[in-house]
Amino acid sequence: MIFNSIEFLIFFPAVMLIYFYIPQKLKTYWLLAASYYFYMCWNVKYILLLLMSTIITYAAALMMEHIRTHKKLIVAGSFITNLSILAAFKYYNFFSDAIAELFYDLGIAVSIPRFDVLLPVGISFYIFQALGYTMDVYRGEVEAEKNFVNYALFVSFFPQLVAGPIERTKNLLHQIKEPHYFEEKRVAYGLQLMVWGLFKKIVIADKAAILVDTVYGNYHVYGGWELVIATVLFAVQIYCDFSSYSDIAIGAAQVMGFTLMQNFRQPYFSQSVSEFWRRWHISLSTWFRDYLYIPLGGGRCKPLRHYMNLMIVFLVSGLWHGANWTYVIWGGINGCYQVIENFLKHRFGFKLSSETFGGKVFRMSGTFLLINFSWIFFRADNLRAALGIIKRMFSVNNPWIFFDGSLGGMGLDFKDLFVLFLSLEILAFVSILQYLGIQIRECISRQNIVFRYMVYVMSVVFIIIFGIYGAAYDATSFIYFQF
Amino acid sequence: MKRKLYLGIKVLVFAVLLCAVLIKCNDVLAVKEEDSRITSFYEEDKDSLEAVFIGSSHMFVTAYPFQLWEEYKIKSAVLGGNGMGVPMEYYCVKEAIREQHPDVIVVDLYKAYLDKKIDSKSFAHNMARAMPNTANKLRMLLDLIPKEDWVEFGFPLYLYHSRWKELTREDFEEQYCYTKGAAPQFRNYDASGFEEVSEEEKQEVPKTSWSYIEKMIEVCEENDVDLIFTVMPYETTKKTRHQQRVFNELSDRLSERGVEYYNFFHMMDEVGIDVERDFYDDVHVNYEGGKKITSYLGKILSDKGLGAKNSHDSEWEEDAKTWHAQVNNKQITTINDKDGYLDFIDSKDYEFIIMIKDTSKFYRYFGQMVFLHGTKLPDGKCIYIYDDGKENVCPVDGRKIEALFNGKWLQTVNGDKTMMLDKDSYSFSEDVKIFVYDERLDQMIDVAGINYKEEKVRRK
Repeated sequence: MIFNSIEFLIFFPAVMLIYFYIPQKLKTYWLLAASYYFYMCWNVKYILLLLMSTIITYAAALMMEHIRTHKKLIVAGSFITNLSILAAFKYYNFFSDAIAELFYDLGIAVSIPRFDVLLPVGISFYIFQALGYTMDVYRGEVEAEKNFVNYALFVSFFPQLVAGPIERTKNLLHQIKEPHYFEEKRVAYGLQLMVWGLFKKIVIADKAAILVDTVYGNYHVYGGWELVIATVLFAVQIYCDFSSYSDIAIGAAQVMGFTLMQNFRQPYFSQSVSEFWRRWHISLSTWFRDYLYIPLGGGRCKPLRHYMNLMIVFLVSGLWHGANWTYVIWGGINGCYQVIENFLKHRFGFKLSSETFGGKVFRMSGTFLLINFSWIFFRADNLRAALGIIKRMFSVNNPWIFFDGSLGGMGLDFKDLFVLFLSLEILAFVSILQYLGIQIRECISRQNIVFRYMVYVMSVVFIIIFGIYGAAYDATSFIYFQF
Repeated sequence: MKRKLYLGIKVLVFAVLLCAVLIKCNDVLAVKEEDSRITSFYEEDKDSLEAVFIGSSHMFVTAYPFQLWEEYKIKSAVLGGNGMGVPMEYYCVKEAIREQHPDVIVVDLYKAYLDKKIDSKSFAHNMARAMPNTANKLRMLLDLIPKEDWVEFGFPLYLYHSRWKELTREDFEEQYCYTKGAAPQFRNYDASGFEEVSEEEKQEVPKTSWSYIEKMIEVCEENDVDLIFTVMPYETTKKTRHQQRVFNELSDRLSERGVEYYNFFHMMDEVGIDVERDFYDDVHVNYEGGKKITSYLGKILSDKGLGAKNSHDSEWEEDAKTWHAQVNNKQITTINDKDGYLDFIDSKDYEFIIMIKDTSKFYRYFGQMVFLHGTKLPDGKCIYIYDDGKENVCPVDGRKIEALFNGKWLQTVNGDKTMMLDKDSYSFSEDVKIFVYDERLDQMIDVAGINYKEEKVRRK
């Protein structure tokens, strides 16, 4: 079940209410059962994959503590097994098609059978989380968890199971073992964060998606500025879609007394691409930093090796996002950005941030443009489409669309566009407050009850009326669920 | 304990507040196409009706309770919904029994040829939304609506929330129905293609329909209510001939059950239906056809003793006048020839404004209108306001006529009755523009443009 569904609206309160009423010693079992049920709602059979990954990494950690001489072998085995599962379901067809194409180009006809099976939802997330645990045990940073139920819940905790944040052992595992009690303020904050996430998802992201899908799906009939607008809106869409899931996950966990890591920190306010990747999908980028980049040598090596490490990390990150060359190219572009920034910084002392308002705005705008350009590859159906979009963006200049009503012909009418831009203004306002370190939920909680209830009621009503859901629309899956 | 209680109260207050706002939003956003017509049934005094007519549009465009009142003093109402199928009619029968316990219930079996519980989800929505929340409605939804659609029926905002873009004045104002659930239609359709399928041709009644017909028979028997089934006539084609065969089969089966059944396909001559003049479209009779069928049904009901105990009822008398005003309201928009139009508005008790572009030619073409005799019009453009025979002629130049059209009469400071018109209405292109206002209905019922040299009336 997805977060923006009736099923979840029934599931979550039920789980929460029972969670707070049962004794502490039963809470873990209850959450584990709820998490497995949550996952089985997607596909009953794939629970076996989750269980398999859990058992392999659980066993591997215990074995590493008991058989210290073969730690490397055990961790390698755990990685190979889990990554093989991931590769089989996610990349087999991609690589087999790539190989077949290569042979075809060489004049050799090769037939490689395809593996037609639905990608298990969240597989990239929980496998990475489990492998992170394995690595932490290997490095001696944490002890192996003896209690299987605790560990199983760590891997399958439903708020973050299917799309993150990819939690770290040091952060989440101990919380599972701690007692949790009902606390009114914490529960209220958690629920507010969930509502905020729903606003971003079904009012902004899903609405923007209509325009983006319309334009990107028929890019050859749209001019340069329409493609620019669609690309900018895709940047909004993907941010709101993914960060909304994180907000709902973090909020749901907070309701139950768990603190998950922050996954997004106003990424579009970054002054450089490097900073962007410290603010965007923080859990994934830090995972790659700690488990791939640093083992490769990180930045503590010769510049050429450093740049190579950066490119490897970003190419792999691109591939993690999807089995398509467009994702690889997207990752490669971001890797190039990072390499160039590093080169400019170390060779010419180029400053990646500014203290002045004008400087910040300039750098933020520039960074946004660079990131936005890379999103073209992320969103386009294939490489040809991406290149076709870029070509039309620069060759078909049609500024009149801003004046002749054409804006209302890109999938959203003017009323929808008005609501979208109003929502974006709200998003921008909140994001600025967050960027400045202002705790919005704290501010609201300090107001009188009439004001607070007005805010809560209006928020919910706004989402219900202006959200994209219901019989007229198919429930849009979160973008990152395909990973 | 105190904290828990305080928390519980806060949660409850929030929940009540949120529900109240959402209910209001639902009322505004829901499609209200048929609401007033259906809810008007529930506004009748309990146990005040002797007969209830139930069915799809075939019933509510055909049966006229006020005609039954005027001809036979029978008090009745129509509980009808677009596309209502036989299963839903069963639940409406139960509604009628609960609300009115009438002597007779007349049910139209147009959809008896269908072998499914719901034909159209949107029509089911119309009905479900207008019905009050009762155990019967809940049973109906659980029985007829597929499980995957329960959410949108239980929480209509799930379906209607996106209507915020289509909201109009009618969504915010309460709508009323003054016709006891009837909705006569006034257009004329030539149904010369009408064909009566021989009574010998029969086709099995689908199980779904028959099971609910039996349920209706049983519930009426249990509650001592006389049940009559009907099928209204319409123009069948080769594709829909099988429907008449099912209606023919129903005759035998209902006869076996001892239930009255009138298949109007075989009673056209008896009732006097004219296929060229009495149809609105290929599936409905118009007002003329409906009057004939209503009169026929009224005789049947009267023979059963309905109406015998009713004498003068001032409320019904007054409402009947409103019914006639409604009928006129509908009829006026179907009149397209200039002379017929002028005769019509001249003969009715209307108030109206006539805007004239050039008064010099006005009398030549409009002199036939009785109330214009003796009227002095200024040269050029003028506005002529007719109000119960009192004339109020205003030259256009120098007068400020502006602001939004609200369809109501306004009293100026000087006591002149004037009408606020929007730019669109004011900048008329025709020689004459007529705004017709019905005081009984308190609404503008027609806006028509007339050019002197044209025979037809123009409307937007």
